[in-house]
Amino acid sequence: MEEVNSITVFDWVLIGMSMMFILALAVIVFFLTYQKRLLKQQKEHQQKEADYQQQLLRANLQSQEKERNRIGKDLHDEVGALLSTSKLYFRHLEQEVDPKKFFELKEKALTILDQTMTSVRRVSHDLKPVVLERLGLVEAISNIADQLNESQAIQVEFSSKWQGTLDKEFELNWFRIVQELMNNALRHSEATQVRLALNGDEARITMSYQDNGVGLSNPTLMMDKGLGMQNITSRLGLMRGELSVEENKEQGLSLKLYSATREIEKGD
Amino acid sequence: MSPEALNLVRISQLSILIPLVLVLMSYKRFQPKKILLGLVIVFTFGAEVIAFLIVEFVQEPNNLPVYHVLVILLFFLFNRLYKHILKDTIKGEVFDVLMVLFTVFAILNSLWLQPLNTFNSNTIVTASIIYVFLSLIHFRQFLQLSILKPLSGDWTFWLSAGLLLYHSGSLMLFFFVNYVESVPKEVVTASWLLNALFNVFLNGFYTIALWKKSIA
Repeated sequence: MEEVNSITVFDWVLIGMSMMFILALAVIVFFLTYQKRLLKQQKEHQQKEADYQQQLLRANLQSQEKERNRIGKDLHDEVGALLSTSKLYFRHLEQEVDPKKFFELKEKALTILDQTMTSVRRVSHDLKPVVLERLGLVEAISNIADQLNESQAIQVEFSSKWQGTLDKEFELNWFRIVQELMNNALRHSEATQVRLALNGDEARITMSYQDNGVGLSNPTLMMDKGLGMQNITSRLGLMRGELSVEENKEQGLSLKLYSATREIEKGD
Repeated sequence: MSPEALNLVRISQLSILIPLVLVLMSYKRFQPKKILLGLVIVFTFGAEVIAFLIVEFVQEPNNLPVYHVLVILLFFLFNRLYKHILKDTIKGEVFDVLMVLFTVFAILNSLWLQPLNTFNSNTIVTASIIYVFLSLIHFRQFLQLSILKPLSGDWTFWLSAGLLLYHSGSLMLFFFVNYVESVPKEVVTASWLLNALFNVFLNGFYTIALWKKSIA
């Protein structure tokens, strides 16, 4: 009787050994398959990230090129034309002898030179905003808001509770972002009112943007394709920040933007 | 034992020679972790040779004392090896405590529970269970890496796979071998043949592990 039992037990041992081996093999195959799937997902994610970075880089380069074209156009069409005109006046000044006419031409030449100086100042201001340099980001944004309010093209309401400090490079990036937002509002949104609010602390700066324009029919698509938005995203990315679109608004566009306030120091 | 079964046992015993040759050929290039695996193979081979010599030349049919020592030696080497491999998952002190506890248990077992001339199934089963758990924890650690790399490219994966397969498969045999009496010889032989087959797999995985580089 004991022998029969023993045989049965050992038969079970044989079956058990085989089953355990097969189970272990199944575990290994499962791990290999599962890890392969994770690897595939990781690869796809990396590819998407690389594509996105390439898209941002392209947008950045296009933006730079656009800016260069604009500056070139400004210098050629405005400054160049004004200098050519003033040159003409100066030529006439050499030939004219009549004092009254001389005085009149001199005044016109001076006026044109004033206009030239204003144009040069404007181009220079666009390149390196003086108010940002001297008074900081909050004042610079206020200045943009004031200029737009004076033009009556759009009503901009700006408020700031932020009292931190920003790296110079980050400050310029935020200024360009606000310029880009205003540019979008004026050109594409058909908005009449814009609300801008700055918040945050020493480590993080946040901005909320809201307008009453047409909004984005497909925010995700717009974020992918719009050069202006890509430029903003790219600048925020450089400052370890992000932009998010609030899609549930009934009218207009509502954005939340944030970034760090300074570069990561070495050793952090 | 049939000639086929005898051949399988011989193949199983000789299969250790392949990883051993690989160890002897390339141990100078091994990183410290891999040297531990090399030592596992050298000690296993050494124990097999001593066990063979005892039976053949000393005319002593019982060579089981060799395996009492070998289990502790191998456990020490695998313990150190997995202490390195799982350093991000398990604290080093856990391995040190485990080593001390296992050694004490193995010595007590050899002195009182399963004397030197008996098959030390208690120690082998305990070690096998620990190896199975270590292999599974190792697999889990692979999945938690922030940057995934193909598992098949890492030598430690092949080591864990080999240990998991061999010790899962042979665990039941080691567990029951001392407790079941009056079993027909053929049934016991069949179980040990299966174990011999698993051993061929283990040595195969050791060989791949020694051949592969580490990507960790």
